[in-house]
Amino acid sequence: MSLRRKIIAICVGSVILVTLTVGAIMTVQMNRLTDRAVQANDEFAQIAGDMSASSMTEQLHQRMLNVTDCNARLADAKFEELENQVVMLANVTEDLFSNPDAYTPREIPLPDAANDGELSVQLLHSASVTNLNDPVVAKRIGLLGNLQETLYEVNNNFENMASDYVAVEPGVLIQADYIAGSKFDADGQILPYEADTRPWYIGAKESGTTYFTPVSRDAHTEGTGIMCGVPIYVDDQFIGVAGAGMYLSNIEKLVSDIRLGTAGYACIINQDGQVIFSPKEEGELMVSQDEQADLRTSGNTELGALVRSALAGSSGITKLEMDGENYYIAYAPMTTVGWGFLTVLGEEEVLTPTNELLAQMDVSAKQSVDSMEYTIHVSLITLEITLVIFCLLVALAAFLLSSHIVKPIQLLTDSVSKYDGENWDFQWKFKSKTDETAILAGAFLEMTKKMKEYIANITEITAEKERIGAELNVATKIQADMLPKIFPAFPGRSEFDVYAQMDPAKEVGGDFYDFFMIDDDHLAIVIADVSSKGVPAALFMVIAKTLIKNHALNRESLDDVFYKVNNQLCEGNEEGMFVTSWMGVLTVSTGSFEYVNAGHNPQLLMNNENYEWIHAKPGFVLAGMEGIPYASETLQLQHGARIFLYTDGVTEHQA
Amino acid sequence: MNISETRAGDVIQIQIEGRVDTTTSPQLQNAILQAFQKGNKLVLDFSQVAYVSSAGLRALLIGQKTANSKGGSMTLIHVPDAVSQVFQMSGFSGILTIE
Repeated sequence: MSLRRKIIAICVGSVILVTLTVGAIMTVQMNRLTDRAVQANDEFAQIAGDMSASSMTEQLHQRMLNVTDCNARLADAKFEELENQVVMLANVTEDLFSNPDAYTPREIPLPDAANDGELSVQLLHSASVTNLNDPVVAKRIGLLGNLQETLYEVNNNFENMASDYVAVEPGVLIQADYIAGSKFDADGQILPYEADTRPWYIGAKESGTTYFTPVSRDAHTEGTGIMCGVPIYVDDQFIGVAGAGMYLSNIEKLVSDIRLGTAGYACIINQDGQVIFSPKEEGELMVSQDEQADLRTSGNTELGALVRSALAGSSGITKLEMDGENYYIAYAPMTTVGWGFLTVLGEEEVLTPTNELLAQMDVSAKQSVDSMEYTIHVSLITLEITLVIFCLLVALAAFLLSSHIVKPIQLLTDSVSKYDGENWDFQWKFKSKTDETAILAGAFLEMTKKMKEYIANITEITAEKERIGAELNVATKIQADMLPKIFPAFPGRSEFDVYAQMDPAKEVGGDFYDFFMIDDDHLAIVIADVSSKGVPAALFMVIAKTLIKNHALNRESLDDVFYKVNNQLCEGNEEGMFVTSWMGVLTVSTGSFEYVNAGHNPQLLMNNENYEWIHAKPGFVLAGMEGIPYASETLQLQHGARIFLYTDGVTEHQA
Repeated sequence: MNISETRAGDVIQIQIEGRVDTTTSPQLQNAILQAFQKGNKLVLDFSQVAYVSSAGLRALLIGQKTANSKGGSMTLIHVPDAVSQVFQMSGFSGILTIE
């Protein structure tokens, strides 16, 4: 992995790690917040719902009670009014009959079919009254005749009044009504009217007080009606009953007009526990069809209790089950008639507003939660986008940064790559002077400089060495050339032969040999070894060889040659070099061989097939000390003798 | 070749062991010259010397010359026969102090 990638990977990795951590924490926190909010909303909705439900129920109860009470009073007022009218008629009649002498007898017209449909007052009587002119009957009719205007006006001024009448014993009745035509039979004869068989008459007479009949269908108009009877007493003696009939269309309308909510309704129950007005056509509170039915003893005991309370004069509100559903029923008494007024509202409907409110609150809460979730969602997405952008920015920054960091390294690498055996110039042109790469480049630059110098030195030294080597080669060549090496050396001489060979251990050795004719009869042979190696030895050898040859060619004695050469070599021999040398001179004509030794190895002679050491008085090495005397010796060579000369290079090599 | 140096009073004794030839003679020469830096009396123990070449002779010659110029002495002791023969042959026995 390259440095750049590493840097980018580290940066981006760190940022992603941080990002993921932050993101995770925020997500968790926000989710927790959402949960909290949802919970709080739920709790709030619950509390608000409860409060609302109870408060609304309370209000509804109150309202239902009010409606019920008002309508009960309103309905009852009609009966009370009717009763008042009837009581008034009874009082007037009582007054008439209590003071019969104070009133003038007046005639009462018989029913006249021509009056049918208009309010008219007429006289009706029982079949038992056969003679209207009977004094007792006539007297009573005469008194009743005084009621004509009263009856007319009462009826005329009382809305929904069908008829009003006063019946007195025995069997006469004055009545104001609109149905004069109905008083006749098919033959046009006036029908008898038996008042004392009528419920209003019987009821009032028997109860001795105001009596309301059960609701009944009016025989003439098909409308429901009710009659009220009030007994008339004169001197505690019952004389008859005043009464009036009233259509109940008003009350029916009142009941049917009452609308509570959408399905709420009102109904009226009479003193016998029968439903007499109800918009319901089925169920427990529909209008009673059965004369024997009595809600007070209903199987629905709760309803029975409620009806009993209402008929007993109480008012209130009760929640009960009816027809399989829960209802709130408010009740109030109608005191005049001893009835009960009920309003009924389904619990469902009571709770509907609350439920609607709750639903609304739920919706609102849900909306607020949704809104919050949306906000959080948006926040999270924003956060994520921000983080992604941040990551990208960091990646870019890391890329640029790494480029910035790596670029000098790349440049350095490139520069170093260019730096090879061919190109010794290290280039560094990057502008930064302070960063590590620049320091490294500086160090490298310094190193290459030193290397260049070093290489230059090496080149120079090598050149010098080569030069010296070349010179040494020349020296070796010169040295080698100085040694005679053309064989046969003396092709014209058959008496003797010479052979020599030298393999120097170093380029330039200190060993040398020489042979030359001093004159025609004298052959000189020299072998020597300079006690040093290298160029100094070579130079020393050249001098020694030259001196020896020069002195020998001067025909000096061997002793003198070495003596003089020794002294000459000692001059300026600061290096302490010396030469071991052995030299012999053969007199060709005689075979006499004179030799001298300056510290050299003993040499070999083969005179009779066998080699033997040539004994030589040892002399000191040449150039060792000045003034050393050398003594030569002589031996006689046989024909075919051989002399073998060598230096210690041979023996050292052997060793 | 091994060289060891011991000192007894003002006498420096150098123990030489092995062959004194072209390769090893500079070592001997250095030892001798360094010894003469420290004192005047030098004893070279040759008992363990197997061979002396011309280069070795040169080292000895330089040593002898140094001794002469310093007014000191360089004495060779326990010289084996083979080495003694070399000294004889090379004429070094004439200039060296051999005991």
